[in-house]
Amino acid sequence: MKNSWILFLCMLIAAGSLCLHAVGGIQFGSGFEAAVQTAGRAVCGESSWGEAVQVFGAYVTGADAVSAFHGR
Amino acid sequence: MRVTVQPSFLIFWTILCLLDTQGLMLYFLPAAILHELGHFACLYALGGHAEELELNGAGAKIEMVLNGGYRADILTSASGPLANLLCACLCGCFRWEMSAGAHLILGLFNLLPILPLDGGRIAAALLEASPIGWRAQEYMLRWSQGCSILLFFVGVYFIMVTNNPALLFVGGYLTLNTCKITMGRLY
Repeated sequence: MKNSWILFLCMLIAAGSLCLHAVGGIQFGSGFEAAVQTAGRAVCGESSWGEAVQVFGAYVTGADAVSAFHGR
Repeated sequence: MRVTVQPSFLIFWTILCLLDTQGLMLYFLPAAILHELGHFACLYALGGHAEELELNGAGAKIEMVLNGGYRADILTSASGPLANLLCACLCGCFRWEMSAGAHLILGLFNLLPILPLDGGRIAAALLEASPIGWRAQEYMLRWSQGCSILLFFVGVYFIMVTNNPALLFVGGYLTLNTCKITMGRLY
């Protein structure tokens, strides 16, 4: 009984998330990818730590992290 | 060692996988596993052992048996994030940018001094060693609740202004977990 409720809840969340994606009401992906990549580039020594902080900050505060990443 | 999987764990990963349109979980999942292995390695190196591994919405909770006081607590808590930071450096040597970034972000996030994160546990253990040690857990819990609720409301502001749910998710996640700790202490 408990497991079927969990399955139902998972399906409800899945449906909700897909709807959010469909209407474009959530921006989660590309900015975070840019933030992870810039952090990785900073570790590899290919970009500065200041730049990594700037892109991550832009992502967290909802500014355009992708532009911040490409505009470096 | 008993391994239990809570429903919140399945729900948490369902949400993460569905929101992950770029395949970032491919980098974060190994980072999370190595993080937990870091804790286990330190625990066994210090002569302790794990009785239970519980996978829940907050990540993994290890019921450990370890004698060694606050120093052992600090070491076992710090070992997970340190494993991530070491792996980030290793990935950096091989120019694996995304893996290095995932390890770095996971390691630094876990070092935030907020319960139930590893940084919060380290801060609590350090407080326990201080003259106010007898109230360390209470102070840390209040501090963690304050920080997580603040993050949550800043997240609400950002999602209204910019549509970015990142901070709201982090704040909500931490608020739920600090509430869970408080409830655990009350009942």
